[in-house]
Amino acid sequence: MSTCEQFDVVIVGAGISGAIMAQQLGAKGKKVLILEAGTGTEDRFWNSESEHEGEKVKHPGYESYMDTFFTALAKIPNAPFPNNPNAPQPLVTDLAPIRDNQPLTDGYFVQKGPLPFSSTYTRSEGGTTLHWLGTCLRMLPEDFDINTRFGQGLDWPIDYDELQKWYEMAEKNIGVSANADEQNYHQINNSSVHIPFENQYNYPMEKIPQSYLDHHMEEGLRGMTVSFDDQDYPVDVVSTPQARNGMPRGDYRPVGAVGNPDVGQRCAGNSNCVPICPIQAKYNALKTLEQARKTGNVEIRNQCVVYDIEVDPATNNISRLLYKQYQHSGSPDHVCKTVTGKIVVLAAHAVENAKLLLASGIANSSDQVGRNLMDHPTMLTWGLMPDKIGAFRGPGSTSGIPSLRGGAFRKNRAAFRIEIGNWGWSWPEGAPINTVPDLIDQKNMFGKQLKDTIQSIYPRMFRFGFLVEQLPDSNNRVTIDPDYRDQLGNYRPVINYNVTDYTRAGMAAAKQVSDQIFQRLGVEGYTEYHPSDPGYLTYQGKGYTYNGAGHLVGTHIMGSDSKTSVVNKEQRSWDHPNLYLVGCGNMPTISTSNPTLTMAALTYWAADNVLKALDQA
Amino acid sequence: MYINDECKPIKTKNNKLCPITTIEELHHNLQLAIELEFATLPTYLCALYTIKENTNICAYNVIRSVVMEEMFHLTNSANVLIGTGGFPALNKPEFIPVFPTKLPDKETWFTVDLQKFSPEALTTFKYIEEPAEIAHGLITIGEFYANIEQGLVHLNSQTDVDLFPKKTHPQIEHKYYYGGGGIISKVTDLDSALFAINAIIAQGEGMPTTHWDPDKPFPLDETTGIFSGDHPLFMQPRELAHYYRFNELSAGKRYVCGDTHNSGPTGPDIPIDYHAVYNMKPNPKSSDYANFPELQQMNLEFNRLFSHLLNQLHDAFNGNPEILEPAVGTMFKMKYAAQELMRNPVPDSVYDYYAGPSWEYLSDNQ
Amino acid sequence: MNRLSDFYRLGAALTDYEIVQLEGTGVGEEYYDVLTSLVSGNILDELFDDYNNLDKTCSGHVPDEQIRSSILANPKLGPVARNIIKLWYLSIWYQLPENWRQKYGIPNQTKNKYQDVQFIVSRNAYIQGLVWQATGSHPMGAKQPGYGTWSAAPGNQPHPVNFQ
Repeated sequence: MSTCEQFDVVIVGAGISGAIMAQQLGAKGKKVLILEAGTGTEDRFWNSESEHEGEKVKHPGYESYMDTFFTALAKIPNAPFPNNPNAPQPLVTDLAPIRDNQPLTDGYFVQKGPLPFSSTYTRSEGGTTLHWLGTCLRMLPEDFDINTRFGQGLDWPIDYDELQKWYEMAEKNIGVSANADEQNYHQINNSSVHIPFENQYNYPMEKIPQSYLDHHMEEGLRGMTVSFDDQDYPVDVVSTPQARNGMPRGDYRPVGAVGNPDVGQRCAGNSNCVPICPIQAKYNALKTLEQARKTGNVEIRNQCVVYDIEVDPATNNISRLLYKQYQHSGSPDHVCKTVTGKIVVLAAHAVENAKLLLASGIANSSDQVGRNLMDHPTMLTWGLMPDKIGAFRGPGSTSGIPSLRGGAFRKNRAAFRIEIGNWGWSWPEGAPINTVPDLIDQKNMFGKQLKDTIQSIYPRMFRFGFLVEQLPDSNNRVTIDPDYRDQLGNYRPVINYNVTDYTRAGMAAAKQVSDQIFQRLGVEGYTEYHPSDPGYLTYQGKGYTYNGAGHLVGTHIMGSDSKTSVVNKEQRSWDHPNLYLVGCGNMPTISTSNPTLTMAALTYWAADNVLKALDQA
Repeated sequence: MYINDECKPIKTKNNKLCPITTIEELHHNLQLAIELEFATLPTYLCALYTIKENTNICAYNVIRSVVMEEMFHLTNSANVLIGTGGFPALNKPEFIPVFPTKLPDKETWFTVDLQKFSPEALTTFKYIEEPAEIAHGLITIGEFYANIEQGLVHLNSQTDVDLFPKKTHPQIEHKYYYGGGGIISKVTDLDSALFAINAIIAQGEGMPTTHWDPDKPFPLDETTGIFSGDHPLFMQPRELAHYYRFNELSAGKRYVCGDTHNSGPTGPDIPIDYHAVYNMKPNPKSSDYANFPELQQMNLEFNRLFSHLLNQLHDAFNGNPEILEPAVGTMFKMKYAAQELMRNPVPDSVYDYYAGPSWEYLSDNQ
Repeated sequence: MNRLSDFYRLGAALTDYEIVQLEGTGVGEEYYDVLTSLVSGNILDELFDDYNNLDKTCSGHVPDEQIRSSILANPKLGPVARNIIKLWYLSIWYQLPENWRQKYGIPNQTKNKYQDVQFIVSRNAYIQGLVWQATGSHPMGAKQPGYGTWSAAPGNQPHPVNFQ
């Protein structure tokens, strides 16, 4: 025990929430250790080599992810990032329909269904921000108390006004491009979605230029309304706030790539935000980790998997963390080590936080750990525009239709946000790489006919994504089972998941909106949902397919009652005074905004709480 | 780089620059500054683009960093010209030198070619960027800019001269300029004008000084360059004058703390592979492709893009700074068009040369 | 006759891109390497000779029907020609059809650089796939077109700039 290393704060996980926490604490002189389960690139952009005792040692940089990405046949969100059996991660290629209650066990997740949970995350230094799209929406004020307003889901222990200044901080530090006078949605004729912004506040960078498709859509849909429960709602195209470098306002300086800061100061239209921005014009947590390191007070230790957390029974404080440190991802050889911190912060991701708490048997007096797992079941619709709209260009999405995010209909069914996709049919069909072989092999095209077909059809492709709200449900949960472990002997997440009628009704309403938009724009529809799709479900006799949004929320929710929640509004465990949980797991509901910005705002707040706790001690 | 009256029409007397005494002379000198900064770009870019994809990463980054700084200098000069009521002119054939072009090297002349990345190219680059301290009896770029500074100070003190008029075209602001080189600032008065010019002098070859000591160590960080492969910034260019950055490449070694002009770089090796380079024909001309219509077409396409770029830059500096945004897109297109040419062998070439762009400005009707 | 230049000539006919554009990708030799490792020399000779003969008899303007009947519909040459199209467009080698492999295939050998399985030829090759040009775009993740370019109408021509 006496040899145990000691820090002010030990953070588990080097993703965005761990990075924010470390940077904030390090800047205030606190000694911080981050333990990251996955491998990392440690501020290197380029791959390099060094000699150690006569042997060449490789040091992969961010470019190694590009190498892997380009030569990967399946360009899935995790394609660029190492397949690491010591810190395995879920892949969309693991998915299949769950039949006859037979769990899916081939991937990292053990999926017990009845429906598969379709979202994935990245276990590497930098975390899932390495492959996120960068959408940075704030939640609506009404999202914080949907139980009170609509009799659905849960209320948050905080409201929009309390979170507002932390939103501003997150937007500034992450680097979000948007115009406040659009993002307050005051131009939308649906007061349910209006978001109050501080007077004079604006984002650090001007909005990212909207795509040609966005403009086309905006013109085509001008004045359109849809009707739900005899009430009309507007269908308005609005640019999306993005953690992507654009034109700076005032003295703001966009942050370029880590280890290569001259590149990435503007988005250059690589059209590859997911799975990986080649120039890091899109924010990733490596940037905040670099800032954390530069404080001189933060150490980041990669390849250290925390597997157990011990509690001092006298104080209920966390006494120490136990972790396995490995040398190579290819070999399970490791050494076991321990470390203590005055305060411990779990920032390992919603699923990994829950898994670790369950494995350690802590913080669970409420029996809510692992429960209320949520995502945005994402339904796609796709088709061909009558004219070329220049598909496959620009960031993955630059605009959406947010005007249906809120309203009285939430009493009866889920709300949704519509994302306008700039990359043609790449998500629904894998175009062009997966679709062109059919033109050659089955349609027997070559030469001019082939070229003309691609030239005339592909620039017309477009798709919508409907991000449908999902309510907290205690049966949607992460558990552990001694029968399912990874190569290091750590637990694999066992997942039970379903989609309720509330969300299914939202999908059905979304499909109707899509149909009306297609009719109005003259879109040649190609949407098809098949029972063989992993996310296929039915509602009122019709079939729909959802995909994972990568928005894993709600496995250790915050609340105002220790009996029904895992953390309080300070994001501190109800059970252990020196344990803080951060990340999307704290969110009691998911509503219709991509959760990262809200999670980042919450984490800045949590860092402030940790600082106060350290200074009081 | 050196200035004399054979290089460009500029007033010199006994190999000394004439003091700037009128706004017209100031504008003339600033326009010349823009042309001088731009003149190096085709040379550097040709070498840069002949480097095969994902090879010679260090060399690529070093040349790129110099290019970015030349563009920063150009933009600073343009802002001073705009801020003093002038009008930069970039959209004319004379704006571009015809290659091979001549520059003075001490007592003799040396030729600047468009050529592939090679030891010879690096030698030329070093000539171009030779520090003022090594020059004897020649007018350096540093002196040229110092003369502009003196002109600014002089004109500012004249009560009858409105040196910084209220109504000018908008300048290139910080938000339009990115990607390395430096941070652009707006020119509104003498201080900001001197600041902009100083930024050029500080970054380039430095001011001439009689106290220069070739054995004085460079102001390098103690850790710079001493790590071999595992230093995160190993592949990055460093804050050395252009000449020394190129010298690192030609020596194939990095400067480390304690190194001097005379010692040369003594640090770890820089991996350079001169074979991973397209064998571009030196100084390509459109006439080289007279018998190969497909290559001719490709070169024409490049020149169209190049001319379009000059028009866009001209427009950006003459009232529409937002045009700089799409101009960056044109620069990327030029890169891809140049590389496409450089991957094509010139048929029947005795030296197994590959094609390359001819960098010609086409007027509207071409 | 140089087989590599035959490869470019056939490639140009199969893809409708000019030879200089194919050479301009810089990865033609890599494709040729893949092809010659995985398809036997006599089949490639036959393929290139067939095309050259068509080209000669049609004085440089081979009608599509001729290419279909003598190459694409030929059980031996057709699958190879289709793979060549896919190499140029997608930079991916696809495993040849089962019945073709049984009849004409070279058995996979562990020491060979390439195997007759589906693979992306290389990082450099991936970003040179013709499909991205044909789509009016750029390879996703490479050949960045620059900030804001996605706002402009699709098409390859630079926008006219208005200046006095």
